[in-house]
Amino acid sequence: MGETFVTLIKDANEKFCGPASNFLGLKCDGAGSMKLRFEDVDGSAAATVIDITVTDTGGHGTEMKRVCQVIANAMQGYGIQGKFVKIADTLAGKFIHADILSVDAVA
Amino acid sequence: MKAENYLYFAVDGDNDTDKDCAMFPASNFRGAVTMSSTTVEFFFTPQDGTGTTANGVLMTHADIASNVTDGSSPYGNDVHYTVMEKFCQLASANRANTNNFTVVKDLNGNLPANEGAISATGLSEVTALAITID
Repeated sequence: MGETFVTLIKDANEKFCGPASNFLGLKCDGAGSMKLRFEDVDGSAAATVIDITVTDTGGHGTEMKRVCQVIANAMQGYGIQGKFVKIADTLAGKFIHADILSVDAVA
Repeated sequence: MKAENYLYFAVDGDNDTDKDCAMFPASNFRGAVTMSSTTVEFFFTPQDGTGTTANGVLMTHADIASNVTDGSSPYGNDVHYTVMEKFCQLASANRANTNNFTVVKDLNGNLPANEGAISATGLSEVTALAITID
């Protein structure tokens, strides 16, 4: 099966692109805030951490669960061809789900 | 390359506090250990990238001593085993053309009015969760 590559873009200077197989996981980091982590690309021992903001209008956290679901779905393989998915692009205002509002940090 | 399955956990909160929910690739599962008569902890490769101290999801369930027969396992009264077995069934459930987002346990009960749970809530045996991510 081909590899799935995902991209998250904060702005002109902070972007991430990497294979979904390097995804270490994500966690809730507070109301409307999530941290996604990927194996680091520079060979250091620390993960690449991407902060994103998601909708939290109702205070019930279901939007965060929806975002987890769409990220999982986006990372799914796509036959032998592989695929390239832009999960979030704050610069262009494009997101794979309406509850993803922004990429806040790529570090 | 095997298609990945992503495992979702959420505590009894509103996804508004650090580690209220977490998601791990099933391939990062390292193993599960019984911690007491009412708890099993599931360990994953750490999200911090160091590969050292594992992240953990501690699941609480009925006391094995009081669970006389759960009827779902050849181990009879061993709810430890039931939780482990069901977790592994969920974690290895990835097949072509199926959803790869798997809710192992979602205890968030504060749902929007007039809406049910947006997807499965996971293992019925699990009554509490504690997520450890350093």
